[in-house]
Amino acid sequence: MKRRRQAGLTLAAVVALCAALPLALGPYTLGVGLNLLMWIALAESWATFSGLSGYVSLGHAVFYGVGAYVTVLSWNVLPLWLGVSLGGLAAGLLALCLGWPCLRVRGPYFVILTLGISEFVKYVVISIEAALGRNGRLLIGTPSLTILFEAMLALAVLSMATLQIVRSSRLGAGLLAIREDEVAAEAVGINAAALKLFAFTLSAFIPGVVGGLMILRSTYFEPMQAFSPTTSFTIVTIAILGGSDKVAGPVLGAFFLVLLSELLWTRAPEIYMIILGALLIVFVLFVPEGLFGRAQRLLGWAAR
Amino acid sequence: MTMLRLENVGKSYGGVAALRGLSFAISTGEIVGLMGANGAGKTTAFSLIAGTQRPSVGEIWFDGKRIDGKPAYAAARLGIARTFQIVRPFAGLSVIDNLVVAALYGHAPERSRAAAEGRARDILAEVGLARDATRLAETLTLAGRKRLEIARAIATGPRLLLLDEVLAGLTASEVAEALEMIRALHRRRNLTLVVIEHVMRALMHLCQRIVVLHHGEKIAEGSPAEILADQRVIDSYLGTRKP
Amino acid sequence: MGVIFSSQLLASVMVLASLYALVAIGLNLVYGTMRLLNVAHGELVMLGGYIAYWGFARWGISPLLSTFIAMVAGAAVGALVYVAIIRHLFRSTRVLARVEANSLLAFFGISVVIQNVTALAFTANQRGYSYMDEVLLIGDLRIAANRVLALAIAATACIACALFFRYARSGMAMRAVIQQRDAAALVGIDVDRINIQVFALGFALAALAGTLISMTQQISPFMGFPFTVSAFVIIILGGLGNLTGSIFGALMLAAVEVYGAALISPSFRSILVYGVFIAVLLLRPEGLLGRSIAAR
Repeated sequence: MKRRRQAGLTLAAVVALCAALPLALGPYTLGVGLNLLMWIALAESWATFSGLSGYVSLGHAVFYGVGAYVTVLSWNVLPLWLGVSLGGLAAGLLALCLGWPCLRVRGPYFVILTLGISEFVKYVVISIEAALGRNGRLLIGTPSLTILFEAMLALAVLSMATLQIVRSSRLGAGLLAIREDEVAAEAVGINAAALKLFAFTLSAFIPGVVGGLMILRSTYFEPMQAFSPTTSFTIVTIAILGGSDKVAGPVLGAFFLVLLSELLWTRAPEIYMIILGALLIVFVLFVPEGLFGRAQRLLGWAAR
Repeated sequence: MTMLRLENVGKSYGGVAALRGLSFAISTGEIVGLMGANGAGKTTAFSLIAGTQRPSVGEIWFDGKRIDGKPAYAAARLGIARTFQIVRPFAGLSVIDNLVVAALYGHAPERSRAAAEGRARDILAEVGLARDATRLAETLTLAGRKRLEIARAIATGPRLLLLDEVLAGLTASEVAEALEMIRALHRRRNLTLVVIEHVMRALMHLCQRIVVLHHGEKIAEGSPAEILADQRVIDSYLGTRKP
Repeated sequence: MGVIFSSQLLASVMVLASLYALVAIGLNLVYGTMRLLNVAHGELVMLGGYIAYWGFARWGISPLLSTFIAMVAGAAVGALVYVAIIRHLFRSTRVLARVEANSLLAFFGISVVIQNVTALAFTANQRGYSYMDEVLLIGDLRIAANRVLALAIAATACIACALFFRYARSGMAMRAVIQQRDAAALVGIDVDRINIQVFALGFALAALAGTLISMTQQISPFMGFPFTVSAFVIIILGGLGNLTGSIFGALMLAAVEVYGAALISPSFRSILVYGVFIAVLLLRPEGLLGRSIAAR
């Protein structure tokens, strides 16, 4: 119990420290920090469903994009924070509607299905924008970087808390069982369809809000960018690199990714992507438990 | 008290009938055997009862409620647990976690993880897997996995337990141990058992009543002695001793 | 009504179908023998296109010659991918347990690598070259010579494949592995060698399709994915592991795409392709004839 309280206090201190960062950091570094928090929030949310259930979603960008689009559509129509929250809700609603038919599909077919759905929604939004005569949308008067940073920090913490709570709950136990053997899970009384749908929907809200925040950051909405498969790819790679079913995993992965990105993105974005792709391959084959999982094994910590 | 009743149950895949007109009843507390050559329809019957498949025709009643067509998880929640012919452990979870999940979701679910772990430890002790509690399920031997399969089914707190060839692949001494374990579980936990087995000796010693299937149809039903003497059973499955 | 029987559209369907069939057969081979979904398949099409482009624009090599070069290169990449990456998937039991999902992720990584290596070498801009683009007049059909050529070569290649699978020893061995992996090993077929050959052949066919495509349209490093998606639709429509079914599926998809684009609008094409993809996966992932793999 004491260890728990110590850990809790440390965590609170870290969060408080991060919240104070905008006072100390310049705009560029703060922007990097924002990106880091964004990837953490996205990857932790992804792991809440895909990491625990084993249903790898390669189309999570669709929730990000939907959140961004709804935020943009409600710009100047609704109060800002309502619009962003609506983005998250829209993403959740989409997950609920999609999940119902899609989660019946198993294994690798689910994976490519999520890819297909993300692209499908992307092209639908492109068509809608074209029909509305819009060629990208510009937002003027968006919140400051500091506000966005604090909001993203809250989302990152929320996403980590969500994963931890789900993981150690009855829901998490059920998802892990589904990951191991869905038929056997059903045989012990787990309503796999219901659990999957719930977790899938849960994993969509935060990415929706994140999408809204990031569109406020970039001030420019363009469907190709907002629904970019590279976002989905990066989320999955972060989770695989860091470890996809423990809270610390995606954080590690995100740190590593942002570091790599800072080193390479401006100079050679293709090399950055190539390294990322190569890392994904290597980790899937040789380190499926991710860096955190491997560290746990090497240091002999209990696997739970 | 009738616990389980099948009425004219049939299952067809395309044009092939795996089961036809199967009817029998099981009373609370019985140990009933299900016997027959491979392909006779035994595992299909289990799948229909446990909800993994739905019957093409007929009705299945459990505790006065109709359950045919209900999905597997619903059957488990009602109190029907099963083992699989080819064991399906949660390989990446620890042995105890295999049971904890079952205890959290089954017929008599525990409210908290701690309570589920308590139940799990008790069962592991009963089946002789207590030492292996924290090992990953995939590291167990076949005999261990078979015990785990049974233990996990028990962890759901079932009323009816369907055992599908749990003795297959075990050595003679392992069979004897397993039989003892099954009998003890039956006594201590107020279970009703339906057992599919090919190990004749075991079936005869364990079961009070046996149902014999052949090509998807029931050809005989009765006590072990009656079955051994039944000519149709001898012709279709047992064969005669060489003089 | 006249639209449907327009020779123009029909010719478009034939050309597209023949190219799609090549790509799909390659994907189906890999899936049929190893049950792996290669999402990087479209990247091989793209590579074939770039080989033809580079050969022509830089060295003046005829795209016809490039078809052979591309096939060799494709085969080499295929063998390399299998030996260096895919084979390792079957080593560790943990990874093997979820080999289908893990292989998909690995292929995804491969596709990202190939796309960006190409973008690094050639920039992300679209590239094209003119080769035999004079317009032929056949009856009342106006069609570019390079499209006729593409159709001819692709169709020949498909027939060659059909003959290969029917009569050649390796081809029959591949069919055996597709039907019954373990039995094939028992009768003495070296399954590992067949796997290498399957990857080599599958990737070579994709690369061949790519060179033909590059004759008729512009190429870019990120053009591959839609071909992967189309190929998946085709193999699901035609039956997973069913190689002649791929030709049937290619015709169907090409017809839907060409007529859909003509009847509705060209920009709808992507929505159509992905829409069909999703529908096919939701309705019948194991093919029109196979058993459903979705939950009960």
